[in-house]
Amino acid sequence: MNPWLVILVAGIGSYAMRICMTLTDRLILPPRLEACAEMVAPAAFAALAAASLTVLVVSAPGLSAATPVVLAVVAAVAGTAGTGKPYVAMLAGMPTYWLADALM
Amino acid sequence: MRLQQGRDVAAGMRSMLPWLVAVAPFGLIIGVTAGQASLPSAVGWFTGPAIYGGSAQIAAIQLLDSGAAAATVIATVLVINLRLVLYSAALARYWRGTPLWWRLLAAYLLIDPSFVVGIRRYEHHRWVLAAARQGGQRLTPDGGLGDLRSSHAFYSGAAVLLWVGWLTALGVGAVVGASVPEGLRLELLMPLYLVGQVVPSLRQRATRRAVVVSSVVAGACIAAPLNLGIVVGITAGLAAGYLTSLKDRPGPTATPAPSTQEHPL
Repeated sequence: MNPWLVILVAGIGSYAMRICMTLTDRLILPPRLEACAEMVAPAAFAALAAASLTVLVVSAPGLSAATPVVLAVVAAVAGTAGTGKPYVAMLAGMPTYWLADALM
Repeated sequence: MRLQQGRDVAAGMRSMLPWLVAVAPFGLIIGVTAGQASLPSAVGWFTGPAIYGGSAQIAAIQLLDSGAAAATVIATVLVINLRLVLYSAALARYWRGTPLWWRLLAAYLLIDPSFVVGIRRYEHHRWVLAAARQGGQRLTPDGGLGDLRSSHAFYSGAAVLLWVGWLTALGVGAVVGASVPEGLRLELLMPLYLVGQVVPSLRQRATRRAVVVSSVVAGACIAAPLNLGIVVGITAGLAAGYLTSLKDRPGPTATPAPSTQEHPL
């Protein structure tokens, strides 16, 4: 199949997933699903972050290469927990990674 | 009213800026991947407006580059994007009653950052209304507490800026991304920013359990085919969070509050 067409079909399918629950005004979610919906964002982002970080750590050529990634995550968690500001995770994590990577 | 909506659109754009900083390197990386693939660069870039989701775009480009069957590429993209159904479900109650054309457009722009920025605004709105009702305050459609039109404008501003920024990053990545030093490890920005988004939500026990379980399961399942580990992780986390919330269900006099109320908007 033509790659343009493949991407177009994949895009239409993705759009259907985006729109499916919002198309009708008559759709009332069951309370159980509503309760779960409030946790979707934290759960989804935790899963995405965990998967990305696990790949980075596992694919590192050795302990000295994986340690800076772990330290960066620790700094990101500590920075965000201490300030309550989500963007501090990047401001604390990236320099920690660069510093640890340079030292190891 | 139009002036106020303009301000809400601008506020949404400002809220999206940190996300843009976080996702731009990811967009650059995907642009580079698309530029280096055996496909025409324009095909790689087209995954942006068509699929509009980083992980799914990378998977599509890599699978097409390796000569995978069309069905495999499409199925992979759909599985990776399964979480969009959950996002759609979470936003459905807020979008109820909006014009069809707006919902069609807003849904097209729905992806992780626009969902997080948008849902926080909607939940903040709900929390304000709940607090006002508890205080016996009289509510009017636009009586100082803001109505959902304000939140819709906020979402629109944030989502449109993300879309423009994302497609720009893809294009720039395809052109100049290859010259970014690999040692900077900019691919670490995205997970770090996600960590930053998750940490403030850990104060509630049910959400904390959902986060821990989804992280552990997704991390343990990275070898699962078609990136299914992420979907399995999210599902397991939601199940754990839901079961915990059943145990923690507040009494009838408890104050309702959204899970992300501690986030400033």
